[in-house]
Amino acid sequence: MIEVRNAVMRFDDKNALDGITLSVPEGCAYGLLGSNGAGKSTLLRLLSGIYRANSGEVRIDGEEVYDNASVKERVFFINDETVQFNNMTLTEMRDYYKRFYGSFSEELWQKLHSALELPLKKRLNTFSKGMKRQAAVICGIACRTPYLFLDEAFDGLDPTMRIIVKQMLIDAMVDNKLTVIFSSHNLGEIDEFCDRVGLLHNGKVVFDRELDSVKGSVFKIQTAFESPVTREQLSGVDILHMETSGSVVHIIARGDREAVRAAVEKFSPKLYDEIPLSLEEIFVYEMEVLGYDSSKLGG
Amino acid sequence: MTAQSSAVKPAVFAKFGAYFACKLKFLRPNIIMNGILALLSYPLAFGLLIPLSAACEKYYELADQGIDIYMDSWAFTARNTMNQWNDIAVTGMVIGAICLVLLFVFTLVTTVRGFRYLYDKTYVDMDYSLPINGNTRFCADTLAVLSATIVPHILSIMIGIILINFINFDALFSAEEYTWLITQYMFTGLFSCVMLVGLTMMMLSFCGKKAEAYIYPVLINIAIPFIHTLCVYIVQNNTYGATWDYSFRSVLQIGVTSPVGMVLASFIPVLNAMVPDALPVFTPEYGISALVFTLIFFAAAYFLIKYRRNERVGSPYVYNSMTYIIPGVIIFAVALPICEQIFDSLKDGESPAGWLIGLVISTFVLYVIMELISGKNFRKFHITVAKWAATVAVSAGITSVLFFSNGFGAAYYVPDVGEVARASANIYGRYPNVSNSNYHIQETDDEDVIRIITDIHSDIPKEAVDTDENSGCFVNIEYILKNGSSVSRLYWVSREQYAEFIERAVTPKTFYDNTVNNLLYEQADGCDEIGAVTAYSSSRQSVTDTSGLTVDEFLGAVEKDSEKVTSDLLYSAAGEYEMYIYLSLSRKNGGSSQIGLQIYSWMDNTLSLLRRYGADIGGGIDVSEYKAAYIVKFDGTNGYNYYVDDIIALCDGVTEQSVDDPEYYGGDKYVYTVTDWYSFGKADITDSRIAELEKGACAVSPFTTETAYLLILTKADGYYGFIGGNKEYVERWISEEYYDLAEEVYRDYLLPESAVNTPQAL
Repeated sequence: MIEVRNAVMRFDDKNALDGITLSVPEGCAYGLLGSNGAGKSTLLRLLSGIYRANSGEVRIDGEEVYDNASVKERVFFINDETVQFNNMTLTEMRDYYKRFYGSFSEELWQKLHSALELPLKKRLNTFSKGMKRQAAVICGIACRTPYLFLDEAFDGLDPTMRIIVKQMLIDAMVDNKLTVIFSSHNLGEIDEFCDRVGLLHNGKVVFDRELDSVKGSVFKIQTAFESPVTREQLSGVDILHMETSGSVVHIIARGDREAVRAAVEKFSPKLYDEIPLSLEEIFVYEMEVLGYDSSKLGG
Repeated sequence: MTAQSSAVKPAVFAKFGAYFACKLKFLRPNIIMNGILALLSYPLAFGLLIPLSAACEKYYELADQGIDIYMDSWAFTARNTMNQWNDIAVTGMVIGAICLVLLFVFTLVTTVRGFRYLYDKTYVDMDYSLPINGNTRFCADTLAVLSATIVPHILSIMIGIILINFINFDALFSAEEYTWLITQYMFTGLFSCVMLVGLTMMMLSFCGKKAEAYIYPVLINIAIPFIHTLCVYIVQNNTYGATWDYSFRSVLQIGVTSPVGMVLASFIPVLNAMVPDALPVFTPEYGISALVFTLIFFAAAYFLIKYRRNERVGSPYVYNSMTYIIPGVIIFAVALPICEQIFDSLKDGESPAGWLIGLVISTFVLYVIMELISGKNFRKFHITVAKWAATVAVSAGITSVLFFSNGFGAAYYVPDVGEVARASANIYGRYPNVSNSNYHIQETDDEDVIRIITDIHSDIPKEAVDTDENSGCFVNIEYILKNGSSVSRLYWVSREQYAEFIERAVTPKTFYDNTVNNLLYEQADGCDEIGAVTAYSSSRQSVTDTSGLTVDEFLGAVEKDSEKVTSDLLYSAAGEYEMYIYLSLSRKNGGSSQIGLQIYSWMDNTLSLLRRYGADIGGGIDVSEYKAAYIVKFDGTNGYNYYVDDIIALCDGVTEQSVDDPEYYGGDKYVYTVTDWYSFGKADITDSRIAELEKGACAVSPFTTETAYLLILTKADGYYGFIGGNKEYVERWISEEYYDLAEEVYRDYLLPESAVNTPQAL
């Protein structure tokens, strides 16, 4: 169980994490969403014990993570850069982690490696970005730690490799009850892979919920009224976005579906359709509410 | 609980071992490089000295047998072999020295590399995410760095020590005791490298970027001994007028505070011409302090790394305060000497404008460079300017405190007699160009004499520096301490203090040492006989063959006479005389040399010994042997600066135009005036008062700024006879008790201005 309470992480005069609180249950695949600079990588480094929070608590299985070797033995962190391994061969990289993680499975590593067919004796600086990422992932999975944190995990992987690596992670979760947190800008992957998501913005948690709950609570309504209805008239509905095209009105609403429907039906719509939203659409509309929207580009 | 602890410990050690092994593997290129450098240092240098010493031994064996190297092919070959090995050994020693310097540099590089996660973001993630705690990481990294740097160094020393035993030092230097000293130098180098690792780690804990991580440990390493020496120099120079060289020779403490300083400090005893029992770091005083500083560096590095924030890696400084402190130290090192010059100029009433401009430009350019290294883009350039100005102001403030505080009283430090290995002193009077006004205590290790010096030193009042410097009197003391450092002091003192110190300094022992110092040196060099004595006073000179007179005999006589010496005999020698004699010395094994020394009329034993060997040593002057007398009066002089030729010429009716030498007087016309600082006249040699004045006269010029009278007696009867070749003359200073008579004679014979200053001449 991962618990973060009121964690503050200050970089000079800016709070990269501004009192965030979230929890990740065991065996969960947790997707960390957020705009650039929202604090995702910082949060993962806090959870890995690389950074020490200025205030607040960061605990894994009830223990503080920072400078705690026994907790860190249960955590494996793959960051968004792999240049630090440049001078190692894949074998050396394997041996490196094998020394530190008692739970490392040589057998599992061989199995994963055989699926990817990465060269063993070549230095990693001759590898492509995607190959380095694969190397890091198989080492991370082979360490068989209960917690695996991946920052931009699928960055640089081709579609085939994404599927393979995803499958490896799923297998590990099933076999080892692995808890995975990964940050990504590819919301489709999180949508497919995660059962819980957290959205960060400006160092704060916008939401931290089950994916289904997120997806169920934000939806699109396509409706048409006899006479025009304004946003203010629909004040009982939590509208993220509203757009009128002729007589058809598109509303992105948040909340209980039945309550929203009841509120709209007060105006006797000629048409009422609920359309499910993808996670990416939810992300865009949620961020729009927070003032982070693409319309800024056009001025 | 116990079971749990014992279960945890192996795990911790396993992680430590794993991490240590990984770090060693990472440092493998450094280990190889350090190993090569270590092997090319002591082992190479000493290894090549072995065949050289063997070749030297063989050659000297043949030379001792009297074999002519040009006639004997064996000897010729032996000499060539020795020369070849000499060239090879010199090359080896040069390479060894370079490799030692490089080993020192690579110790720093290896340390910086070993703590890569302190300044490289990618390695922060890699190293800090591993399941080890901070203590394990720090200890393993430190041990890995020490293993990569110190172990090759230790191995090279061990090989060096083994090789030293095969070197025949007798054949090389005739100085076997240097083996111990060389060993100490090797371990000083090792100790400095350990300290370098600690200091570099401490500096790394401040730095968040690679550029800072490499540059600042180097700069701080240089800045610490430089600032330390400069501070001592400023205090000493301002208080005693000591030179940079003196200051450096006194700062053994720099060996305590930095690795570079430790290496430099180990050479200070050598600069002080001393072979110490132990180099500074091998003495408890400096060794323990250096050890404490080294431990402080490591401990500071431990805590600073423990509490540093990894998120700041990538910033120039992980600790914000270092943004000001580290550039501040560097700027201080540059500003210190310039500020000292500024305060010196102000003190002397000169304009410091040039130094001020230098200070502004040099420090500003350096500060901007440091800001650029730190990645500043100068969007807020005024902040950079303000920080620079504040740094320079603080530097100037600290310099002014050092400059005007006399080192908070440290300036008046007097070493204990037990601490002093050797000491010497000079007590200078008003007229440095007159030898008698000075008294020199030769460098000695005699405890009684050292006590006299330290007693005089202790009694110099603390406000001495503020006394009237126009007294012209000062005391200069130099100690070589048993630890190899030197303490040099110069104090201005009043005339009363000068007289008192002279009285205390003049003892049989110091007088004897002073008189025969050079002779003792020559005796030690093999001179055992005084072949001839040349007696010299003013223009009179006589050479006597004294074959058979031994140096020991002469020394015995001087020693006996020295028992009588008092300052009165030396400085108030009314009616006495002094004489310079030159002793021509011959050596047992051939060769000769000549030395000069001063004897006085009261040195009965010496004089009678010399006279027994026929030396023409002067006594009183027989006026009847001279044909002309000139009397000179000095009024309130600043020194006795006169020209016998001019006096004789003017008195004998030659105008100033004839005697003038424009080049001599710098192109100015010489104008004689009785109101000038001296005036004179030609007396009648048959005047009975001249013989009367001679009774109280001596060759010693009096130490006074008041009136003084001089009698010049010539063998020529006038100017033309004098310049014609008969230039023999004597100078006789009139005793104070005869001043009334001297004044009377002076007035009777005073040369009037009108006699020489013709209208054409003016």
